[in-house]
Amino acid sequence: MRYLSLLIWSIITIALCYFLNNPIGQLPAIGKIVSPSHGFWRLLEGEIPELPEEVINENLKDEVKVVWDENLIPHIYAQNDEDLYFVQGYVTASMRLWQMDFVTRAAEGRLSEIVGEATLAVDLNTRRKGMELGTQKIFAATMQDPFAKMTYEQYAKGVNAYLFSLDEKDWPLEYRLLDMEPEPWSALRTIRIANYMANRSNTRNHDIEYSNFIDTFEYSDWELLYGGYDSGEEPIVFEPGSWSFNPIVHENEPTDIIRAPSDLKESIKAPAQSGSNNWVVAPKKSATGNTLFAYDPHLGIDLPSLFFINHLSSPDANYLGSSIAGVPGTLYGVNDSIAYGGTNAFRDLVDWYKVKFTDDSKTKIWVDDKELDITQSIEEIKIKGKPSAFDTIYYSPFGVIANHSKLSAEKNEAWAYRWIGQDTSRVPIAILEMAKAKNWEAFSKAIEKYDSPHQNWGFAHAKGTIGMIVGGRYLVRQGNEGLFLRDGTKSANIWNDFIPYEHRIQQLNPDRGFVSSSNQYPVDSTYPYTIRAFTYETKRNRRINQTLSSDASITSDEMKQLQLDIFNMEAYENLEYLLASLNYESLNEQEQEIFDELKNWNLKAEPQLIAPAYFSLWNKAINELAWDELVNHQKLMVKPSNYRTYKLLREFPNLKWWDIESTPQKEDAEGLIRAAYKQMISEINQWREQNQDMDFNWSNVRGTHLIHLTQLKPLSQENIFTGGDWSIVNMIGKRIGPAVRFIVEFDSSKVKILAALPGGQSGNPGSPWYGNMTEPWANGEYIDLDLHYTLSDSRRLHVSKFKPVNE
Amino acid sequence: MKKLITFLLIGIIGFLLTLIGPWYLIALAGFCGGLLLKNQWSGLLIGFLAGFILWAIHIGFLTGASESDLPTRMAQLFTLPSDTALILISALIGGTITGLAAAAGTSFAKAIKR
Repeated sequence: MRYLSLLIWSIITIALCYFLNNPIGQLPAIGKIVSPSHGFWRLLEGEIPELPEEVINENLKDEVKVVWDENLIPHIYAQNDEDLYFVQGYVTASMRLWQMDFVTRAAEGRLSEIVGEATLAVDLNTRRKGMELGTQKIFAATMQDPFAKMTYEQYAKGVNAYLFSLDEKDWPLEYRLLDMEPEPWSALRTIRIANYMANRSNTRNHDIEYSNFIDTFEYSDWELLYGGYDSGEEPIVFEPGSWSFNPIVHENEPTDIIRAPSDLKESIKAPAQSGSNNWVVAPKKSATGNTLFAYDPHLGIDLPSLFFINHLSSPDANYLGSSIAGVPGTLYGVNDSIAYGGTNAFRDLVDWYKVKFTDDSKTKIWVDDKELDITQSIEEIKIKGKPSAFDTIYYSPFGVIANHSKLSAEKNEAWAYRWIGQDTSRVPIAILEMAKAKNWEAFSKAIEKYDSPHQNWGFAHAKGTIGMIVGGRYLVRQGNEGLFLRDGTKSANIWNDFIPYEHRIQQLNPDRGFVSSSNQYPVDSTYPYTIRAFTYETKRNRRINQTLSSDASITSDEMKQLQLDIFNMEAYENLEYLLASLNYESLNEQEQEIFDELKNWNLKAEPQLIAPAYFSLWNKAINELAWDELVNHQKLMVKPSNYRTYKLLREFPNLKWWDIESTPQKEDAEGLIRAAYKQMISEINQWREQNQDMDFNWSNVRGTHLIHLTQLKPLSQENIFTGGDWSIVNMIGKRIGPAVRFIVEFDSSKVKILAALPGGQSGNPGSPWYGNMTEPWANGEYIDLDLHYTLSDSRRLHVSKFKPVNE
Repeated sequence: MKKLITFLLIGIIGFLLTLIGPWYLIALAGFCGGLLLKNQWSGLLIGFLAGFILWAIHIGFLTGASESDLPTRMAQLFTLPSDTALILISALIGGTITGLAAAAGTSFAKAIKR
């Protein structure tokens, strides 16, 4: 009896502590989150965040100083490159540890370990892409290069030095929320994250959709809707007649169209569209006589910010730019002599093949009527709270044969996915060489190694050289080769011929005084190779070229204005036509009001206006209704481009496609546009009904959000007030936009650098520096960056010192 | 007087223990404090107040030094109306643990005295 109350009190206390120290169901371990000693409270930061004071480490040779400027951008001053990349790893980890760790696990197809069964399909997809195949080859190639090997290993040591300096209670917040533990860094993880991020951009393909289409409709329909090009009038490089080489030609013409069976519904989809702009202005066209450079990659705008801006300096290098957390060096940048940045170069870099196993053992496939051995790997995917899932992946010369693409068991047929990302790439070496390049020759040599992802590289030299290289390793394609599903039983169809680097598309110091790219068609029609992709950009590039052409003395300020340009080319070219299709007299009061609003619109996608919302939704409705036959089809199909849609509407007002299936009458182009107008208005009314507490304007109707990688809304920034839209130079969508804006002017006395970043430098949601740069970014403000930021600069926030161990 | 000493002791020991060990060592602080008291109910009360106030002050100190709105965002995450609510609930959790542990300490002291 005398121990009973002791027992009761003790049991309750211990049980409570136990439950609060462990995650229960969806709830994280509460005690580790709310206690002042270990919870998130201690991650809260003030105006000056927690920054390293003095770090002593045996991997350092000399002292390294890191100056954190007024925007929390680290300027790393090292006395040798070994120390430089060690400290870059340390400093990046101190800002972005969880982000780099988490994204790498996504790249490894290991999200289910953290999240549970919900992400199993994502993990399977990641592995079935054959990314690991490419990663291992890239890793091997990188480790062959002594400088790259040193860099990647030092960086990993730096990350780990930071990680091991932490107690569990210092781990970033997300580790607690997701109940996960950090994993040590390695050079291989860097390659994984680099390959994953890079290959978000070059998996776009419509092979299955196109084959489904011609299986259902006629080939002539396909030609009308998808064949040829949307735009070639303003290619990136226009140098007709300058291509003086003999192209490589396939010995035997492959191309066989395989009509897709209806059971192939799954496919590995490229992530949401992305794009980018870059342009470079030569001294003769610039107001100050200085070379001007502008770059804004349009990528997912997540939190923590995709990019981390940093400045790296040693006796052998002095450059500044944005990095992906987890990858040493910078992805693009500027040094004392050059500035460079790449936009996505679209090309068909994926094929789907129908292969045939010889028997149920699935160890061989038929190629040219002979048996060919293939290899397989059994993937274990660990799932939080559940037994592991297993998947067999077969590797063939036609790409990765995944179990899910089983056609029919009797015939032993399956689909193989071939993608350029399964091949090696020397990009990890290239990015280090680009940063050290001081002239066009060295830069061009570095780009030769930039195999994948494929980028249009804008180049600016302080002394006035400007250039553009369409970089990357491209397949030799003939005719419609690779646009449809392919025969995987013929060796002639195996990827074999690649365009040599000497045959690349490039331009140096063109007469017009500028180079530019915005994901459009790359080259004039005299280029000897066939160029195939699924979509090219048709609007931004022409707006940029028109603006630059019409201005004989361009200033740095005008470079800013062009990056922030929100003139809607789509509306400029089509709005009048669309409005002419409506009969004003027969419209009701609201319809007339909207008509007037659109008629008087200045064609700018300004955030406070409402006309951009009317236009955007009308445009979307036209697309949906025009291609309702494809959208609603049981087979996987894809809509033709916007550009093609308007071209066809105008040229062929009576096409069968304009009929809307769900209505009894038969629509022509005009009828379709009117129906879309009504659909737009009903969507607008619905939005207003559902969002009565919000201002009715373009910014809110579109809704631009910076979502945290965990998808947790409280850690995100929602409804950013900003203009811009698709097909507009300042391309801002719901979850996508300029992931950084960057402008460089090579003044004779100083390299002037401007930048804007959605989000912030810190990855800690408890830091004021986590999202402080979003508003200036949305408002079109820029920060100044400096390649020679001094230790004694009065604006600096802090100086961290890194020292070797004293003997 | 004894109660005041107990109260302060739990706070100080709790703060120091969790500085070096896991957060749930505040329970040990509550238990030690409880040893000084005679009535388990006053143990529960004094323990609760000590833990509650220790956590509230500590959290107040950490949030006061910061310019981040994370407390409000974390409150949203737990579907609480405000950061104040989150602070109160956190302190309530701390107080509950020290209170229960102090009651256990008091019962222990009584049990071995007999």
